[in-house]
Amino acid sequence: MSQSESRTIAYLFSSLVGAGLYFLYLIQQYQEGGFNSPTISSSWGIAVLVVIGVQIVLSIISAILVSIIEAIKAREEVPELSDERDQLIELKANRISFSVFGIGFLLAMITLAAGLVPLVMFNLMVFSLFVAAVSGYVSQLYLYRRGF
Amino acid sequence: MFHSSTFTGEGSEMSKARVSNSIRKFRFNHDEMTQQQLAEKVGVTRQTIIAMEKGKYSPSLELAFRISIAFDSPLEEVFSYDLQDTNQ
Repeated sequence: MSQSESRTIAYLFSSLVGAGLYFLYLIQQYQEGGFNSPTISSSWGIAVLVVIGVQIVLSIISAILVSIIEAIKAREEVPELSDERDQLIELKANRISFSVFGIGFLLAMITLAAGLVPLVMFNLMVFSLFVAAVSGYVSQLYLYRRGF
Repeated sequence: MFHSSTFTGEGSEMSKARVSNSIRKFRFNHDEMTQQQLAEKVGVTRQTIIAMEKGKYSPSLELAFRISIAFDSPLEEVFSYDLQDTNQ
């Protein structure tokens, strides 16, 4: 497994942990009846910001861990190398990610147009963000495995 | 002994174009140069060399030139483009 693949797996893992944390919070709020609270919008915003922060920290830690593991495996310092194929794979994965988020955004707008509460729209947007990130990383892994 | 790998370019008209390379043959003829050695020489990862040899990845013109310079051979000897298969 190449360094790029290991790094992608690490990012995928941090995305999944972030999503897991957010949806745990969602379930907790639902069980406690927090959906009906008047301060729900601000607490939701704080929750999303916290999850983003956690995800950034996890991504940094996992990227460092991957570099250390790769260096130990190679018994020397592994140069950080990203070539044109890596960049093209990243671009393709980003395109998939944006498309997935676009679909999620569209669905979120449909829920607003259908007269559902903004909370549904907001959560659908957050959900599509996570799905977009995960699908981007999964497609990146697939392209790395296939060659291009 | 060696088979040149062939890959299909992207794009509507270009999809029928076939580009092939003889990187493996050239490596063999250059003191059995390893994929890692070639990768380091041209500034890419070993995975990119593997993908090119398998015919999965079409390199940029710049990388193609760098590879041909690494083998001290003209570009058209390392890479070839089959015009007969293009949909013109």
